[in-house]
Parts: sequence; C-alpha cells; structure tokens
Amino acid sequence: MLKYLPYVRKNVFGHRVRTAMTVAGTALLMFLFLFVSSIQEGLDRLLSGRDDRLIVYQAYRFCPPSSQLPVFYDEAIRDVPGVRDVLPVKVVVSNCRASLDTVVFNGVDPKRLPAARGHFRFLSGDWSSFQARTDAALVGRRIAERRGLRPGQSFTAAGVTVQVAGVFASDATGEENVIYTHLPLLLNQKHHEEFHVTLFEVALADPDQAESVAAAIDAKVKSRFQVPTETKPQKAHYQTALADLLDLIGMTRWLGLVCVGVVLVLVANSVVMAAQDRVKEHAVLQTIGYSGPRIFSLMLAESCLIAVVGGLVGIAGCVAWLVWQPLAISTEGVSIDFVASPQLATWGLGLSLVVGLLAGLVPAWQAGRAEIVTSLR
Amino acid sequence: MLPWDYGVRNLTRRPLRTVLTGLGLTLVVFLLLLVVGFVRGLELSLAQSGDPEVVLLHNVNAAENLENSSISDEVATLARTEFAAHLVRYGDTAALSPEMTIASRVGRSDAEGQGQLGVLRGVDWDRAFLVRRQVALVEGTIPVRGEVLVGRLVPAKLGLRTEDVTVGSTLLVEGRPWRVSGRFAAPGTLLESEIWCDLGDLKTAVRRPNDVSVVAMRFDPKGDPARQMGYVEYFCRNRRPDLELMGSREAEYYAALQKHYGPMRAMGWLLVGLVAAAGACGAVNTMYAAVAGRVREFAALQAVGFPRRAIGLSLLQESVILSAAATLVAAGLALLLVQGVAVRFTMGAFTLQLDRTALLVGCGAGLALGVFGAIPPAVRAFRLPIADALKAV
Amino acid sequence: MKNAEGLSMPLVEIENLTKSYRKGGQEVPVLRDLALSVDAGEFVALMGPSGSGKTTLLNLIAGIDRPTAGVVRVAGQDLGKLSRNRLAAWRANHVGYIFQLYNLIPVLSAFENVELPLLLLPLSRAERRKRVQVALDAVGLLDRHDHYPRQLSGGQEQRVAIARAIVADPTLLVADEPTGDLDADTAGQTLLLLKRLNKEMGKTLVMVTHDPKAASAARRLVRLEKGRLVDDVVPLASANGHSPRARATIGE
Repeated sequence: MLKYLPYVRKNVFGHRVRTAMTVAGTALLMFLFLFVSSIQEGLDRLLSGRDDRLIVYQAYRFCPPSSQLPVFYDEAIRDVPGVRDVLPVKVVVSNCRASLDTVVFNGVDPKRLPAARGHFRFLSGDWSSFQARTDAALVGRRIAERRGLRPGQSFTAAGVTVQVAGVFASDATGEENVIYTHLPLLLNQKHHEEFHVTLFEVALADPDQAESVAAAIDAKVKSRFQVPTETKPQKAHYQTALADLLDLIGMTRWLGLVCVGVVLVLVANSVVMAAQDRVKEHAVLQTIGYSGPRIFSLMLAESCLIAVVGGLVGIAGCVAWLVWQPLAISTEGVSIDFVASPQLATWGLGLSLVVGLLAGLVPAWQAGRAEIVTSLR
Repeated sequence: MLPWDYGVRNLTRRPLRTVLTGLGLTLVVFLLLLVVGFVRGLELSLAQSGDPEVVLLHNVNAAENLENSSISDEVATLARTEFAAHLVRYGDTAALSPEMTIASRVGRSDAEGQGQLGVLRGVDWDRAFLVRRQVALVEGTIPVRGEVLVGRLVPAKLGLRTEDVTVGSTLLVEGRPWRVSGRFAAPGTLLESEIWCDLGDLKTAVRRPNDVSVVAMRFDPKGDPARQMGYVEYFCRNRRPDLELMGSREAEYYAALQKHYGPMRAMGWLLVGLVAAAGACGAVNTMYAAVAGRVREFAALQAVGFPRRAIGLSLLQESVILSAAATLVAAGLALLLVQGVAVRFTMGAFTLQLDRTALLVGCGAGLALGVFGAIPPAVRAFRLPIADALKAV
Repeated sequence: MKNAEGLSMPLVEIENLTKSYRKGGQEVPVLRDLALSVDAGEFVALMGPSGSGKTTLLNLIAGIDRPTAGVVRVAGQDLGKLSRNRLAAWRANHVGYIFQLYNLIPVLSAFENVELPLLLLPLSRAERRKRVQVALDAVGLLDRHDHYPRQLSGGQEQRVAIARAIVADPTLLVADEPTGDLDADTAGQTLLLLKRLNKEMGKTLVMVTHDPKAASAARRLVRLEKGRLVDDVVPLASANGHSPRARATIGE
C-alpha cells in the first residue's frame, strides 16, 4: 500500500485550495476538541489522583473561608485509630467562584511541610529558604508561570503578601496551582479567626481503612465539639468542591463532539468533491487494471491523510499553546488543570484517523463501484 | 442581472455537495449559538441580578464574595437611622433588609450525605420583598420556622428533578430537614437559584447568632446617587470604622462579577471565533469547487453579454441562499434545544439565553459565512481572460 | 497461440456477441450477434459511422464492459466468466488502453503516469523504474520524465499515454481514436509509433478510428454499421504475404 502513497499524497496536495481549506477547518476544530478535552483530562486526573489522604472539612461547607475549624481539633483527630499524622491547613483564595486565574494560598506549619510534601521537585529555591522567613512562599510551577513569579519577588493576592522563596513541580494534579506559605501568616489576617483553620489533612496508616477512619473522626468531633466536621478521602472532597463546574464541563464535552461532527462533514464534503472531480480518472485507473476495492482504498487513504494532517496541525497547536500558557480553572479553592497529555494527543490523532475513515467511506465506495464506460464519457 | 433561479438551480446541480455543506454550516451555526447562548445567559443573569436602587452594606474584606461577608447584627438598626433620609419607605417601614447568605450543602431528605452546593439566604420576611423587587412568590406560602422558599432554578442548581423540589417536599440543610413551603420567581437573575428562609432560623442553624452577611437597602431613585454613596462611605469609614463596613451598589457588585468572569467570557468568544473560522473554510471550499467547474460557463455568460458583476452577484446569491437556509435550521434547533436550558455554575445557576444579541451574532455569522465563502472563488473565476476561459477544461 | 491440435488460435475470439443498453426503460441494441477474431500480431482498425458500435466493441474486447449475450475470449480467457475484480486484474496483465484524450493523471509526472500500471504488479521499485525508462525511451520522451501533463504538448501527452499502455507488456493494445485530438503532423507521428509497436515489438493492436488516414496505418480494416460487421478486409497495401490470414465473417 505504501507504493501508492505518492499518488495519494499528490492528489491531496495537488489541489491546494481544497486541501488547504479542509486541513485548516479540521485543524481549527481539532484544536477546539483537544482544548475542551484537556479540561476533562485534567478533571479525570484530579479525581483519579492519590487517595491516601483524608480531608477534614467543616460540615456542609464548600468555600474555604466558610470552613472554620478550631486548631485544637488536631489532637482529637490524631487520637483516632488509623490516623498516622494530622496537618492543619489554612486555605485563603482570591475568589471562590469559577475563574481562570484564582490564587490559592495554603498556610501550613513550615517545619512539617517537607514531610507532608516529600514528592515536591524544586525548580528553584529549597526547603530551608522557605523556612527561613515567616512570609516565605513556595509557588507551584503552573501559577508561577501564569503570574511570572520568581524567587526573591514579592507577591500580593487575596490580601496576603508573600516573598517567593522557591518554585516547585509536582506530579499530583492541581498542586502546581497552589502557593504554600506559613500558617501563622494567614492566621494573622483576621483577628477573630486566629485559632481556626480551614481543614485538616489526615495521613492514614492504612489507606484501605479510609472510610472507617473518616466516620470515626466525624463521630468523635460530633460527640465532643460544637462545630461538626465532614471527613472524606481527598478525591471525594475534590469532587464535592467541583460539583458546580461539572455542568459546564459536560457542556464542553458536547461542544467537542459537535466539533468532531463538523470535521466529519467537512472532510466528507472534500472527499465527495474530489471523487466527483475524478470520475473519469477513476475510470481510467480501472481500465488500467485498478480494481474497485483498490480505488476504494486509495480514496479512503486520501480522506484519512487530509483528516490526519488537519488533526495533527490542530492538536500540535493546542498542545503547544497549553504548554506555553498553562491554564487552570478553579472553584471553591480547587483547580482543574487543562492537561493535553501525550495520551490525549494520541487519542485525538486516532480520532482524526477514524473521522477520515468514516468521512471517506461512502464516497470511496461509490468511486470504487462506478461503471467504467459511463464514467469515461 | 442573471435570473434568480439560476443561482437556485446551481445548488441542485450537485445535490450531495450542497447537502453536506448545508449540514456543515448548520452544525457550525448551531455551535456558535450554543456558545453565545451560554455567554449571554451568564452576562444577562449578572446584569439583571443587580438592582440599581439597592445598596449593600457588607464586610470590607468581602467585597468580591459577599457570601463570605460577616457584619454585626447592630448594623441593621444603625442603618435604619443613619440612612433614613435616603431609604425608600412604605408607610413606616423602610426598605432595609438584613440578610445572611450561606453556601452550604443542600440535598434531598432521603439522600443523607449527598447534596450539592446551594445558596441559602436568611431574610426578614417583613422587609425582604420591599428591597428585592425582582422576587415574587409564585406558589405556596411564606415559610415559617423550619421551612424554606425555593427559587425556580433550585432543582437545576442542586442537580435534582423539578418533582423532587415541590411544595411540601423536604430538603436536608445543615443536617436538618426543612420543608419546602413555596416557590418564588426572579426571572433572569441569580436570585432564582437561591433557597430563602427565616433569618433567625438560619442564624440558629449555622450557629451565628450575632452577625449577618449584608444589610440590603433601597435608596430613593430620585435622590442624587453621588450624595447617597458619599454618605454611605462617610458612615463606614469615619463614623463607625470599628464595624469594618463597606457600601456597594448592588449593580456595581454584579458589574465587578461580570469583570471577574471576563476571562471566561473571552474564552467563550474565542471558541466562537474558532468555530466561525472553521465554518468559513468549509464554505470557501464548497464555493471554490462550485466555481472551478464552471470557468467556461462564466466565460460564455460574459461573452453573451452579462457583466462580471452580475455573475459575481449570482455566485454570492448561491452561497448566501445555502448559508441562510443552514442558519435558519440551526436557529430553529437552537431555540428548541438550547434556549432556556438551565446551567449550574458556581454560586448560582442561569439559563442559556438566545436573546437578540445572541441571535444577531449567531445568525449574522452564518450569513457572513455565505458572503465571505463566495468572494475568493469569485475573484479567482474572473482572473482568466474570456477567450482563454472559453477554452478551459 | 496454438490450440490442442497445434493450429494457431486467434488472440481475440468473439462469438454471437450482442450488447444492448437500457435507455429510458427501453433496450437499445448497440451490437447485434457479432463474430470476429483477431490473431496475435495483427493491427486491426475498427471503422464505421457514429453509433455503429465500434467503441462498444473495443470496450468489450478490452474487458471494461460486459456483453449482454455471446462470448468474448481474449488469450483463451472467456471474459464473461471473470468477476469484476478478477477482470480488473486480468486487464492489468493483458490490456493496454490508449484513449483519445490521453487521460493522464494531471497531478502525476510523466514518469509517475507511466508507472501506474506497474504498481499493480509484484515488482521492486528498481524494476519499475527500469521498465518505465524503457517505455518512455520507446516513445522518445525519456528526457521529459519529470514533466507534468500541463507542461507537455498534445502529441507528447499521447506518447506518454502510449508508454503507459505498453509498460506492463500487455498481450493486447487497444486504442480509441488515438489521433482524434491531434493535428495532422502529430497524428502522423503517433500512427508511426503505433505501427512500430506492431511491427517491431509484435504488439497486437485493435484501434477504433473514423479517420481513413489513421486506418491506413492498420493492416486490416473491419467496418461496422448499426452494430453489425459489414466488411472485413486486408487492404492490398498491407497484404504482403507476411500478414496474418484475413478472416471475414459477414453478419446477416
């Protein structure tokens, strides 16, 4: 089949305008498709991430400022069987509403962060520079790129001013959108909330015991204290926080599907036009000895080539853009990265190929079935 | 001028191409209308939510997220006196409403542990409707203790069916069951996705006996807005700075929210642009093919005596007929499937709106595709001199 | 070709051939009960007025159309017994078709056009290249192998088409008005080329033409009228003792 490639290639690129328009249209739509799929990919990654942690949050609350748990809860939580460690975290966000540019501060005990986030890879700075100053901040790679933050810079958002001490990278999705700073810095912001944190991160001795430990924590708090808690595995916590965006993400999924549909129509139209223009040519090929099935496969190859080239351009463009401009959508203090992974890009390319096959199927079949004598006329 | 049906008949010469192009354009315009409907729905709900007469007193640190605002109970009493000269009055009652807004988990009473983010607003029933003019009771009764009034978009907001949230049904809020006593309408505003209850009831439920979120006031529309806001600022900064207050016109608060959603709306428009460009590629493609096979025909028409302009117009007519038909179908589908669909979106819900602007943009783009699709091919068709074109294959 | 008894068999054998087309619900006969045979190495011209069925007959011999009734046997193969795909494969190996309007693929160079039939055969790239060069050389266009059809004159295009027709060394060459679109000089050159192919390379040629000058290049004239064979002669000029035995069957 490879020996026919020059013929296929020349037929496709020999008709410059038609091919250019089809490839351009396909590229634009596949760019869009990958763009909206990258949100879904980011969401999937977030919800399929690590689940060896529990998050203790105030019951019935969503937005970080609305969750106020007394710091001394951590002693009670620590005593619950199955709990390995407890880390109080104060979360301050610039905005709870859906946004493409939310700043999320996590205030934690600087001496305990290295143990809790041992998987961080420092792109600049280190733990000691973070621990050296009370207003030091460790900035996640994505937000550092988005806001152009580098070590030594001062940065203010959500009423908080920090000094960037380092930039970290993390494989855990969403974490690179967070700025870690010292817990006391965030607690001092509001006088009447000096001894309240937003949540507790609970490290488990046995991740399989997550549900039972969570229930035990909530029961203990309920029996002893006034402010009730809701403890969930981290995945479930994210899912709850992001629930309001799910409609939107569902809509973008439909958008992506319709885009693929338009690509199908665009490529099909192009192949139909090519087939109609070459009725005689195909009859000549049949005369030479090219069978109907062979002409069918040649046309199908053309269709796939156009679709794949267009898909490649669009997908490459989207990947390049998302690498250059890492995007994330945040709500309730949780972020979904726009992730254009190699797997997603491959899947997009594969889809282009399938669309090429489907779009070319009928016109190619008709071309292969044409009567020679009638077509020669 | 060439006869009108010359253009029409040319469309039927290659029916498969015409159908495919029409289908492609229909999908493109439908996509455009879908995205624009979303953007307009969001814009309109924000624009309509802000009452221009309403001024909100809230915590100075919660200017962007009023749900996080917390101010002392005494602010309502103080405001009634301080702003007496500016407040709208109904007899002895000033249009001033202390309110508490909480974002909390709300779900069906039989689904413990599940539920979605719902926005609760605790209000003083005697005063709330004096300030919140957009709100009207449409079904049931005003709630008493242990009851709630739900907006019409609440089922969509909570991801429930309308049948689950009827008058008499029960919702689980703050771990307690609350009976739905009635429904309210506040068309085109974000208020319609809220759940209202008695202020005291809510304060007890969330254990905040001493504060509220905002004090909403209606100022006399005949008054000088600058003077009114000037006095509010004076009160907050100079008379009672200890209360950490700030005053904002509700319309400006929602305008700021519009700005906050600016990047997302811009992204929506970017999507619209990409889809429209893709549609243009398809239209140009088809028109190029339509012209390519007719170079000789056009030359013959010119030789007969028709000016280029007439032939060009006929081409344009062909293209625009196709795109207009596609636009009509797409608009019909969109009005059927998209218009009024409720979308849950942070801290509220709104409906997709195909208003005049949306239809203008969507349908205008559809027609523009027809116009611009014909121009490059027409230009190309007339490049050859007539004599050469007549010999063309 | 020889039969079981050792006698030479015709390359093309046509018996009781009938071909009709459906037009507007009616059967329109084009060929009526025709019989014809062509020996290997013959150069036959099919002549007749417009609508006489000569192109239809040519197409049936070339295997690009199917008879309504009767038998068309080429190189011992009854074409009617082959399926569509088998027939295509048969054509690739046995037939070279030369069209009136050349019908070169516009996006391919002369080399690539001539190479097209060879792509169907199990040949290596080097072998294909060699054969194409030989074919182009035979028609005198090796130096234009990288030219595209739009860069060639009408006569050159027809020569490339001829090269394409012979490159796979087919059993039979058929030509449908090969000089119909050429000026007199170029037509003459083309006919000379065809004569060479027949004389020097022993190619069997069946050519449809309405041009007496073109017909004079052939060594046997078969005339058709209203779908029937009315004349089958070997013109005196070409009957030189070496020509194949002329066999004529006059239709009823």
